[in-house]
Amino acid sequence: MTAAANFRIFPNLYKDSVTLMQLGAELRSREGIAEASCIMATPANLTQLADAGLAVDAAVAPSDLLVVVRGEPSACEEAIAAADAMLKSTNAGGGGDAAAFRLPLSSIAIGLQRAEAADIALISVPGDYAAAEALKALAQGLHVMVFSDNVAIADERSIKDYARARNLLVMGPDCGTAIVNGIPLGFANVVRRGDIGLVAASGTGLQEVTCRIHNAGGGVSQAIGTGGRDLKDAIGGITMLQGLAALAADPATRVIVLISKPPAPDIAQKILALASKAGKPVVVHFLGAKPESIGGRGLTPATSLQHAGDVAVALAKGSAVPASSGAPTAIQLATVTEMAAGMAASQYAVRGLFTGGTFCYEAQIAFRARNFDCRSNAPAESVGLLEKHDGHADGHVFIDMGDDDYTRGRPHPMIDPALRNAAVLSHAADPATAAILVDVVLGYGSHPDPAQALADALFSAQREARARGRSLALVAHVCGTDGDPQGRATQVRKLEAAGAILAESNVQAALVCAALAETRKAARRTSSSAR
Amino acid sequence: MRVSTASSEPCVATTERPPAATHAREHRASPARLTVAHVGYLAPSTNFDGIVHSVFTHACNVAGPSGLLTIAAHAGADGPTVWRLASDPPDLRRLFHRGERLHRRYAAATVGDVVLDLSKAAAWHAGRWPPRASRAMADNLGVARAALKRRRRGCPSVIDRDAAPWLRSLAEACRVCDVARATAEIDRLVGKGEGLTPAGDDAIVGFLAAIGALAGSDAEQVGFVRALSAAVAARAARTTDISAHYLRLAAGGHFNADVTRLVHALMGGESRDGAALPAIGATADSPLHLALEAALNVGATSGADMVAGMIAGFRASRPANA
Repeated sequence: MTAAANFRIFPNLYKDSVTLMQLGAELRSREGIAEASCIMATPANLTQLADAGLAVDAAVAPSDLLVVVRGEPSACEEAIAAADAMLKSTNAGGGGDAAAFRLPLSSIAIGLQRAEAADIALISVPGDYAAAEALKALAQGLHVMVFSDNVAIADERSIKDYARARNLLVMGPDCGTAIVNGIPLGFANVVRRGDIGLVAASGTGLQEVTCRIHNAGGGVSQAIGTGGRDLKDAIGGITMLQGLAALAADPATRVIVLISKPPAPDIAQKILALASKAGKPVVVHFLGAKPESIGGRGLTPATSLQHAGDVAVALAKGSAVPASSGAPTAIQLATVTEMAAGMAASQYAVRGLFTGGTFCYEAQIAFRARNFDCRSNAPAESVGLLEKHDGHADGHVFIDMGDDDYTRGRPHPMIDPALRNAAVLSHAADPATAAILVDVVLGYGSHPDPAQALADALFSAQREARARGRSLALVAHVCGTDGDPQGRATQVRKLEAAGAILAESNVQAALVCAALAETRKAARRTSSSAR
Repeated sequence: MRVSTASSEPCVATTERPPAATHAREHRASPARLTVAHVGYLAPSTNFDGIVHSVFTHACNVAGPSGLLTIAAHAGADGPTVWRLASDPPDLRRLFHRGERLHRRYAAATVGDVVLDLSKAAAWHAGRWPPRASRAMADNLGVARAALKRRRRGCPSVIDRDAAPWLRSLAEACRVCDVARATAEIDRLVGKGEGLTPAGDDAIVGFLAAIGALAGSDAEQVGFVRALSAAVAARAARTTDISAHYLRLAAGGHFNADVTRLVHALMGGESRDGAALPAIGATADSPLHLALEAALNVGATSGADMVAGMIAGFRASRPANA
């Protein structure tokens, strides 16, 4: 006889022991069946099955009923079918059978009962309740990642103080991204494990740098999110200081990267002082801060998110540290110069439509560094506030479409591209628009095929513009890796097919647009003086 | 399993429904009303919402804010988290369905179109363990072993086969208060066996009841019981939801009435729920026999497995207070 094992899982089905023993005996008595077992899939019973050569290679829970048979393949199939019929019969088992409703995981305590070894809780509830849930988790000795936003800043301070007193970490509130022990949490990417540890007060900033590290051949030990307000005076950088200390003590971390918008001066001083005592190289990127403001032993300032990733990889590999990175390539410059030459006289403005808030911020900085005025609904320093964003604004405009104005009552644009697609079409219809700058964020939590979802809008935008005698430059950057569920290379190809110029990073995409804006500005000046 | 599911139990159709109504939900013309006679001392005492987790002939489990609540037919046992009905509906599976919501508001609870009247319910408390074991305990344990042996004929359990050495080893570890060894045996027993509450779990419940009752004020024994209880609670997630609930209760020193009555009967004291127990005797209607019969009839093999664990626990404990 050819012995093969076959099994079927009946999720959350309870039968009394006599019924199961009788069923097992019935199955064993069948011709061609060498062994059969009908038991609840508890770890103890699974061990017993494995000892009996009936190991089950499937995800099961203790409240699942498991029927396993071994014997001739055809007999096994028949036995499983018979077991299925008997177990589903309402008469089976007299009064001792029931299909159970799987107990909902309705509290952190129940979650801990299901996963004894858990040491972190991810809180994603409406902001009003998040602090209370975080305290419950902390009281159970768990580190906490608070995905929720709209948590009062006083509550944030309270839970962080409480956690710090217990040597626990609170990531967030409004912490969208983290990678802990190789496990992506929230919006995060599939990156190689390695020796670079990060602490960031920016979700998409953390995604960009971890992806850059991966794509440049490096790896990530831990990526800790702090939440966007951690470095404000009211909080004092509690999580960043704790995270920095943890990475300094972590033997698996050889290089540390810190990312944030510029902190309050006192807090920046504290962070830099601690970083200079880390005993390992620390790359610091405070978006928009002057590199000379970042000084200390072992500290290397970075000029962009891409640069932070590149510097970290160079330090980890012991190779030369690049002075900068993200400058447009010659091909990119030639392409935009050629495109700019073919544009209508009215076209001069760059419209950045971002799903990532930090990408929006970084693009503004890149434009301001080249002395372009611009406006945004989430303005960086010396950038004007955009009050109306209906697609008919003047000048260069950068919109964070993940801002509360857009996400209240609807999914984030990383998940649902509809609103950004509408904005692409709306800005493309503006005669002043010369370029549309977009980010595409991959990874867990994001849209399953964001490039395809955007490509249709880009095609339509270009078609409409051509119909009106204009041509648009579409510039995109994909934040992700080939390990992500969406696959970076696939997403890049789809955007290229839609006519987009692809940049390596967000800062490079912004600089490509800035180059185009300069060309258009010069062309308009020439045209104006000729008149 | 601490709720009776045996199909041989007498069922009296006393559901308080209008005579014209049928039991099938789809044919029900008007709401069914069930009176709750007893409310366990750990059942939620305030308004709450729950969800029906599982339904058996004589018991329905509801996932509430602090774990499972069992709605048991009158023939079933009281318990810390039990609402025991005043009647014995023929089949609770026709009244409740998994996934349905239960809403308890003050003196009434609704599940679908079933109304549970709590206005007349009395609180059920387990009371304290007997202060000491009587001299008759050894004889009583002999009676229990004989009853268990009779029950096992034609109805074997893993507790008598693969798990027998583990239960013996657990008892030996208990005798010398060896927490590490006892915990290793708990590791093996939790979730072991067929059925809706695996036999290993039922045995642990009985074992904890016995050693908890006999620990008295012996500091070393009390410490051992606490440590073992903590080990059991920490491993409860390794078994079925229902069994895990009873393991957690047992680890907290909380047991259903069938368990507490048997403890009292075996120790020769008064029943834990207040019903006086006369001296132990061997007649068929003696308190010991009644308690044994009630315990052994729980589930298909669960009651017997619990009794096996309890006997092992009593034999393992140092009868310092006997």
